[in-house]
Amino acid sequence: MDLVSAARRGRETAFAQLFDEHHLPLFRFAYRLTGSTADAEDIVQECFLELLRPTCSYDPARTPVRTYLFGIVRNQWLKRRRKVEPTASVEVGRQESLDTDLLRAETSDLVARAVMQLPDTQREVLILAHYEQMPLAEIARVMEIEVTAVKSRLQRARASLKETLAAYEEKRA
Amino acid sequence: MNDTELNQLLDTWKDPPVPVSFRRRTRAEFAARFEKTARWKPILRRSLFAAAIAALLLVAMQAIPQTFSPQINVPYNVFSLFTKYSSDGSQTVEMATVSYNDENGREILLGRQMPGNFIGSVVGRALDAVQRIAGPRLRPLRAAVHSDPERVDPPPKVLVGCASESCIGLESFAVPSVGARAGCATENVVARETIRDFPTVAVRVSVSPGRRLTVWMAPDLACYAMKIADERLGADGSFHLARMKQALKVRQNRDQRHVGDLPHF
Repeated sequence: MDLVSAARRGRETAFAQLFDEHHLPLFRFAYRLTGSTADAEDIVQECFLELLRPTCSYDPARTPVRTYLFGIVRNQWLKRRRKVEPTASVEVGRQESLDTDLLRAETSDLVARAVMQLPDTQREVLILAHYEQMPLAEIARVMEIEVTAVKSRLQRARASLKETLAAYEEKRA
Repeated sequence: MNDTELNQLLDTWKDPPVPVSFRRRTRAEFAARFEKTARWKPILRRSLFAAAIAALLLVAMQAIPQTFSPQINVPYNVFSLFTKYSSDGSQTVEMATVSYNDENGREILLGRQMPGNFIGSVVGRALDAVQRIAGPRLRPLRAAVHSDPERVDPPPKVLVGCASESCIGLESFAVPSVGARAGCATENVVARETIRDFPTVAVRVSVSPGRRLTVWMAPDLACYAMKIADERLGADGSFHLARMKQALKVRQNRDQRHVGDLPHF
């Protein structure tokens, strides 16, 4: 019996093992998506509890549990985002303030801000590819898109970051 | 900026440590969720299982009562009507039964129906079937527990009517009998009458100071009570009819397998 099935039957040790094996990357992913530790905790907790629901469609024969869990985290984040920030129009305004902020903040904060300013579709690809070192094919499964789309989003994200962060480097120099 | 420089910059964004309480909180949530489910699941499962079995038995007992009492050899059955009399003189049918007396003079209820009381009829019939099947099987258990022979084999009783408004419980009394071969009764005989072509002997017994029963027993039917008059002492000092059982039809079962059909109201 796999860990998910055992956890669904109420075996706490199975749930603990599942949690211990996966919660760190999921937490990192959720944190980089939301920028908040508290939100990341909530999302990851909800993600694990989602697996236990009788309505959960997880099929171990079709998807590795890690891929499925990343997918739940992403969905939970998108759900929250729709509630909190229903439109993406804030990105333009932020771009203007970013330039001035860049000069004052620490490098890591600026990198974080620069990543957070990326469009959602580019940001999640970048986080999974760079920070989680996830293969492109797996990212495609998590996001339910084609590998080619993952590649192009990643290229656009990196190009955008290069531009933003290069401007910062120049100003700092 | 080249790819390496970008990667170096990106790596400066470190992820925060996972809060210590996070693991504990998630595991507690898991435990709480399963505690709730675990508490109700077995009860729910057992209840559903019991309900399903009960429903199945009920349906089967209504449809094919013979299946549930294949050991019974029914020599005859009597369709009787129980009528209730009110003080204002009105009367209502309380219950219709199909029953017979076994060789020991015990009345075996094969079925009953209460007009206008569908649930009571269904439950009552199910209880009768259970009693019919389980009763004889419980005798060894009673014999092991009780040393008193009366507790093991209680004396035969006649069914007088419903014990309550719901009519699920029934009221019965033990009427002294000397057995069918001796003509059922030799003392307290108050009348002799032929009912539905069967000669009967009537005895009168006092149930309580204000209540008496007159029971017409048929020796040819193992002292079956063909008629019962249940009388109560009124304010005028005389007895008034409160309930009456009357045999309306006697059906002989030559193959001794037919248990009788209940009429529908």
